Amino acid sequence: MMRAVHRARWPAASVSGPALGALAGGLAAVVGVLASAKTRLDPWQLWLPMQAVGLSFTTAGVIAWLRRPGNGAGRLMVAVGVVWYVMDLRASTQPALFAVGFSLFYLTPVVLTHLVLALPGGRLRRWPERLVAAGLYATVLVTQPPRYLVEHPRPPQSWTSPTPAYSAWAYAGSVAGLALTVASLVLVLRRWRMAGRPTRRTHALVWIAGTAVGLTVLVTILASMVNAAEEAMRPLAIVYTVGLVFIPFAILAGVLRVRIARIRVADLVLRLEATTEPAELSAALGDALGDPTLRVCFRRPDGGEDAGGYVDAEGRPVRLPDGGDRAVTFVRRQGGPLAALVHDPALHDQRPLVDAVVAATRLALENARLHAAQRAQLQEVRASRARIIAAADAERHRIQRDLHDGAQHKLLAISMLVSRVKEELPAGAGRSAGLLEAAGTRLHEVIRELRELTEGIHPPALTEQGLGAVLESLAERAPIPVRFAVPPGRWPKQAERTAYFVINEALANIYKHAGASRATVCIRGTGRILAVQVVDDGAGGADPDRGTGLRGLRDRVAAIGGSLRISSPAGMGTRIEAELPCGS
Amino acid sequence: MRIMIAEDSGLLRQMLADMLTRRGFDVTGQASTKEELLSLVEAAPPDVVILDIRLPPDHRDEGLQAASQLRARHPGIGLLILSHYAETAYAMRLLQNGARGVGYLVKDRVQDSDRLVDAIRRVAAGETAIDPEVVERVMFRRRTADPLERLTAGERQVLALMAEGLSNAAIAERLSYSLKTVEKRISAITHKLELQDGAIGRDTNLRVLTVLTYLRSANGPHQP
Repeated sequence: MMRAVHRARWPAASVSGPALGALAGGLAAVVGVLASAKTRLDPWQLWLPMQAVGLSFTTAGVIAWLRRPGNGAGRLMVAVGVVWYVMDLRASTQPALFAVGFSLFYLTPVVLTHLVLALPGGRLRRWPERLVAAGLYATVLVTQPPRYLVEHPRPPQSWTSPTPAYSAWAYAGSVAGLALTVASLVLVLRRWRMAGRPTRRTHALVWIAGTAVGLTVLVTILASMVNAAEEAMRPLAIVYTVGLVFIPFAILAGVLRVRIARIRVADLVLRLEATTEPAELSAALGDALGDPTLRVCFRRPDGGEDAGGYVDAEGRPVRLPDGGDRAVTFVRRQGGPLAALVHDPALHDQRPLVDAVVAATRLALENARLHAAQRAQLQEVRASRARIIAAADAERHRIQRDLHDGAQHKLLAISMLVSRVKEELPAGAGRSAGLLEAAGTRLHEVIRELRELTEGIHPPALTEQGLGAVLESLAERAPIPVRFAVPPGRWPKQAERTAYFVINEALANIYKHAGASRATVCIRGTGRILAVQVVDDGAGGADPDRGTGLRGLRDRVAAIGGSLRISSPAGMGTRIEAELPCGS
Repeated sequence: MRIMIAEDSGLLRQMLADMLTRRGFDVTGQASTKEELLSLVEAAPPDVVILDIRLPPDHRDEGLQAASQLRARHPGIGLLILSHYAETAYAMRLLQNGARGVGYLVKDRVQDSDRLVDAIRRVAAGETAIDPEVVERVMFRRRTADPLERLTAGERQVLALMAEGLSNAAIAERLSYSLKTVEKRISAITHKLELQDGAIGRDTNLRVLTVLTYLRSANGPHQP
């Protein structure tokens, strides 16, 4: 039977294991029925349901084996079914068959306990469970054969038979069985306490039925030790049998639950369609998998393959758990892990469902991740654009200061020297005086030009005097009438600078290209927005896509998160409107 | 006459001091920051203070701040601002502290020592001295409906000199008019521009403020 574990890897072989199991179960049933029918030890009403127990284990086991070949539970159920009929051999009149039946009589509850402890994965994962199971097997195999040898007459091993003299082996077996049954019950209770919601939901029936059977066994062992009456034993046998009939169907229900849950994947797909928020994604996946504790962790774009490269829905770095009471399932695409689902370990036993959910989620996850990455990138681009503008502004300011402190002062000093030389020229040096005069005039022109240049680079009064004052001096230098409507007040530095830049650039365009006879600049400021409007009555037809002036404006405005509208129908003048945010 | 200079550039400050000394002024203090200037003035108030608008450490409008503090504590001291820029806004701010004994010159004027000395004397005498370039800017800004078009060329000349802060006598001398002619032109200007008679009369300082304010606002800011 263990070979089937390996065979299950080949799809063609995956049916042969269950088929063999079914065959063995069927044969065992026939042998068991034939062996026990003639010399029934139990009354009919008990004998018939008891036959049904073996068959139901075999049937449910074969179905589970087929559905979930990777899970050992199906094989263990078939084993219980087969062993169940081996137990019937104790009723055989054949001495050899009786010997087998007698020796292996208690194997059924042992394999059954093994099965219950091995749920949901079908394997004993932890040492306490392995120890208890091994102890149970040892108890049966060590105490029953000596009993067969030493006890005369041999008790018929019926639930309801009166007890003859037991040997010490029987008492040893009872005490060991008692202790190990109590240990098994403790283990099951502990599993129940530690399990998450999905695990409990899947295995509740099995654990309840298993516990009922375990308690019955416990009471039966105690009763047999005190030689209780047959009438007292019968109800216990009924509870034991009913519990046993229940268990295979409860286990099968767990298997089928996965199939039912697959339908939820379809709902999940629809729900994911409307979801972009990472937190909602976690909730949707948790609902679909029946694990409200499920959390989606996203791999950071720059994160490595290690457990540290993940962030949660809010973008905080998280460490993926390493074993313990949380399990991790990775969502992968070609490149590597895309995200990780941190969930209840019980979901590992619902592999097909988890795979279906992960497949449905992969696209949504990738979208959500790209969405987040894009948002971060956009944020970075905006910030970098604002930094570039700020750096350019600072650079203009520095150039202006350098010109002011350096060249302009030196030129002024030279001009003073020139006029002093002129003053000190002896009378009659008319020609030299004329040349110095000319040099002085040229110098004055240079100084003025330099002054206008530095004024243009960065309006000196903007910082101290505000937009109104600076626009006033723009108007004073304008070659066409420019009217200004500027409310008194100040706005944040960035907004004022950008507004000035927009107005200056728009007016420069008007003077150069529009052929306008007048222009109007209007500024309105609410608390949060500084609105700038520059209108002219010129030729219109300004195209923001041609030339760098208007495009530069748009970039500049966008850099502080503002918006710019340009309306310039041919022959109808041009209207430029900018809205600049004043928030911090 | 005692003069103090507040100027960031040591070179320019020294040359200014030399020039003023040569022209017979007594330069009693040189400062490169606002605080330095204020303490110098406290120690020994001069007759006139010449200040740059931008002074360390921030190079903003420390000179104007110093001017208004000095005006408040020592109203008798004449204040002459030397500015790199012909910013009308700065000139108006200075005048708003009271136009008596204040002057606003563009720094280029250091080249023309006669004009600088003239401005110092006028400021010391409690008169007003506004740089012709500033006046030119407000006079000749483009207007859609220019009230100045109602003035004759001669009247416009007189108006500009009024804005510079010249007295009637000085205007007459500058334009080689008789005082009578100047007064006649001024009354025509007052009438044509609908200026307030009282503000245009004798006090030339108040007259500067009135004319500049008029020129700046005439057909200026409006609600479209």
